[in-house]
Amino acid sequence: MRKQMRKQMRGSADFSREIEAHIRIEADRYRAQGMSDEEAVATARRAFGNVTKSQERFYDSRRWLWWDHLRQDLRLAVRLLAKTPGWTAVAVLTVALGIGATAAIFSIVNTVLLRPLPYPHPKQLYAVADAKFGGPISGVGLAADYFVIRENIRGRSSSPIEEIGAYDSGGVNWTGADRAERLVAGQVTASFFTTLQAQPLYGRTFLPEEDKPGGDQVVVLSYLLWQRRFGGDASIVGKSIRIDRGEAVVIGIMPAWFDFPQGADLWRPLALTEGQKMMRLVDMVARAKASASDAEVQHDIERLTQTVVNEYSRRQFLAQGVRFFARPLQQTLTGDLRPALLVFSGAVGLMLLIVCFTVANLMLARATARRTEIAVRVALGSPRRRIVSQLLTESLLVSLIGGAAGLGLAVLAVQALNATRKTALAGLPEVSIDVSTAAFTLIVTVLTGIAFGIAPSLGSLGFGAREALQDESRTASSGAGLRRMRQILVVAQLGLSLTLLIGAGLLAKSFYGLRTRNPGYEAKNVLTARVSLAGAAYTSRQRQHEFNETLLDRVSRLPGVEAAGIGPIPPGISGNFGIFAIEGRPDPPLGQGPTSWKLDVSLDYFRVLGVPLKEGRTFARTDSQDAPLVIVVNEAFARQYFRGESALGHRVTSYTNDDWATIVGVVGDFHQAGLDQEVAPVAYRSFEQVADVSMTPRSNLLIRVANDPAGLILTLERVAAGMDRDQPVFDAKTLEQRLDDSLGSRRFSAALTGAFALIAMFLASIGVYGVMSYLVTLRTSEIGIRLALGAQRGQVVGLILREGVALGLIGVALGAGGALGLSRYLTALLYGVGTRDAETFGAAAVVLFGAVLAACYVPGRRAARVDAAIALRHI
Amino acid sequence: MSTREPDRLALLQGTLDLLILRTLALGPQHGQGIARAIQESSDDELLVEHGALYPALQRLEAQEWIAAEWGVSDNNRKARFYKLTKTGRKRLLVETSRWRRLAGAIGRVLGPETA
Repeated sequence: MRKQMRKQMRGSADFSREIEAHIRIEADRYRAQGMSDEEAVATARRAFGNVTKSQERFYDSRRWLWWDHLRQDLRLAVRLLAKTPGWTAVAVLTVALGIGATAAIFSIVNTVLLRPLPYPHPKQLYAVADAKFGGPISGVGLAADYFVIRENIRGRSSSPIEEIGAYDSGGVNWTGADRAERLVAGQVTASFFTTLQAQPLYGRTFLPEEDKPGGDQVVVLSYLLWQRRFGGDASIVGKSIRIDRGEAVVIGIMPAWFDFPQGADLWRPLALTEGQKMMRLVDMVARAKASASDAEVQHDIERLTQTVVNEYSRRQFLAQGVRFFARPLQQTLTGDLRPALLVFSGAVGLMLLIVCFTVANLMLARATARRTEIAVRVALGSPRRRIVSQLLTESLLVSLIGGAAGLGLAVLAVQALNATRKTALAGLPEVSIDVSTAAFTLIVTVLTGIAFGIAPSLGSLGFGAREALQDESRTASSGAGLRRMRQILVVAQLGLSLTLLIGAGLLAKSFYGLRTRNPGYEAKNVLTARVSLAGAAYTSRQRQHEFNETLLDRVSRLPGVEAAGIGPIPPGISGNFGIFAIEGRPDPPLGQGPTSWKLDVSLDYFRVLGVPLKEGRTFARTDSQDAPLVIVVNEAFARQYFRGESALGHRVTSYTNDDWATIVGVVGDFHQAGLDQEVAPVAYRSFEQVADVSMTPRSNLLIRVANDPAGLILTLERVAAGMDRDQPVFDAKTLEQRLDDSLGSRRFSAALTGAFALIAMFLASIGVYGVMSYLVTLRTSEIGIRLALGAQRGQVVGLILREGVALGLIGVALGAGGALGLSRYLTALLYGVGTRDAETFGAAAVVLFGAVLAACYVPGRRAARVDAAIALRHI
Repeated sequence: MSTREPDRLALLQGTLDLLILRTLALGPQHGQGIARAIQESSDDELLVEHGALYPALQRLEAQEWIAAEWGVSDNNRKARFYKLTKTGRKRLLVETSRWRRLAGAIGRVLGPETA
């Protein structure tokens, strides 16, 4: 078969000889008719027609033509691109930016939202929570309820839930080595690991009898900790380590991929006493049976609400508002990031569109410049599809080079992102560029190449060879179709840019609004750090109190320290939230009583933070353990519960503590929970008068210094180590740093969309510049005539600017419309700014319009400098 | 332009193959000769476009209806001569009768020349 094909093949040289013979025979005939030699040959050639076309068609019939064509197209494309290095660089860079941004964002979305959780059958995993605590997205539940639920599920074979586990995370002091270290510990039930079906790398996980008080002196290490502190030595399994001053036997090591709850260095059993079960809040994870549907799981968990409430029959107060629900675990873990990621995906999509338009525009400009070349090729008999495939090859080549560069950019971007993920996108797992990202990038790249190759191809098909060749001499009217297409592309670019600009503007405005918001305290020159009092030595209130007093005393005497206090470090609230009663007022209906935060602080807490006293007094030494209970409230508290009267002198009580406390002072409102949280009513108690022992005693230090708070960190660590070398100071940061970090994700959102918007605007400006320059070139002769007839330079410039202004106005109108439609998706990311903020819309429009005018400047000046004499000569 | 092309009939798709086979039935001929023969025997009504002629020859050769070899023309030019093969001759008969039927049928539809 192959042999036969080869036999049939004729060389193209043979074919050429045949055609030569044809022409010579024909010429002989003409000569016989009396023509001269030259005339005869010329006539014979003309009569034959297009030799090359015949040859090509001959060629067509015997080869894998597409392969030849592809090679030919590629060679030509490379040569043409190399001939215009400037154009090529701009096009490749544009594509690289677009693809890079797209790939980087995709890799985040892929990591967070698309890639399944690393556990077996991840779709069967659900987060279970009580809407009463923490709301409908990232809820938690009471530990006691977890036990009720688990018992119910396990006692009922019809339940769609196979297993359920509870977990929480907290810090522990690891005191094994020369220097104590603070570690993140997952506190989990034995069923936690079996629910996730996570097998240890070495050893085992917890046994059912180990998550009970007394049996809990065991620990499972994370891969990272095992590598970092034990050099990956598996013989550590079975040995004891010291945690929180107690001994714990290492029973297992988890594999590297197991990172749940996020950031855990080790896992300890969640062993709770009956009393603790009523106070601890835990997260719950459940595994559904393989056969169970999503609806069945949801329904079963919701039904359990009644079971739990029945358990509370003698404690009606706790049963208020209980409602259990189940959500797919992945959704719950990524709940907070979802809105931001969707916004970024949208923004990057818009930017990619702009990139496509930009390159399409560049290709069109190129096609316009090459109209003559293309027309000549058509005239010489090149089939249309060959020209289209040539243009497509060129655009695909540009996009593939750009895509490769873009992937490189994405790798850099992801590295930078991973370095800042602690603050930028809190809760974000380590992002990596994997096969799916690469595949996605390739697909986007090819689609982009085809998309921006099609416009010029259509353009080149839109005119015949004759018109194009004729047009060459009368430039003014030529290429109206191409010009129209370029205008449309530019308007689309402008519109999309404005949409992005407005989005970025809204995010930036809400970020700067928060950044410049007065927190209500003086963040400058305050150092903060935490010390956790763990172990048997600090189980009594007295011991905890003594430690705090000594620490404060020693720190206060350090040089440069003005005041030191202990209490919740803003932004962030750590304390209790609950209902209370005001003396002399009737009991409100159940569940509708006044509520407030109840925070414990030391004497100088307000002084360190610089929070002003509005009324009465703050705590004094005389407010000792034996003195009458006093509280200080914030203005929000006073305003909400003592409208129109002074709060001073009133007595309040919380239900869990039956003693009445007198309000002795009102301090100014400050954003305790965070700059983006409204100020809630807070009642402050003095440490001195707090009678109950904290289960998780943690001292949050706040130190006001004269200057350079960060310089104090080392000294502080030394002071703490001098008191008890097993109590590490950790998380030392200046208050300003904390404020800054708390806005990290907002800054990131604003900066990212801002960068997209700027790139988009820049690309759109280049588009405007290109279209306007071309317009000036086209109209040079017309301008010459106008000038010759007495038009003023200003009028000429106006003529050109008019078109730019028209493009700009249409673009702005479209963009504003797009922003109106899309900005509601930003709601979750905005604070203190409406999605239709007129100021932002106006400012963005002005900025974009300015960019349009700037892009018109150079072409406009060229139009103004047209020399009538020269222009007229070229008509 | 001083010399306008005479108004010639364009060849119907597929008819060129038939005309080539018919021409070669008279004896071996080279490409230029085939083109000229068709033109002359149609009283200059049919003009063979050379861009189509050689691909057609190529096609017929591939189907083994014609065979080719280099030879010397009347006026001592080297040329590639084509001749009809046995299968080509059969093909010519089939194609000719099919063409006559088609032409007759179209003629009947169009009716006598009136207008």
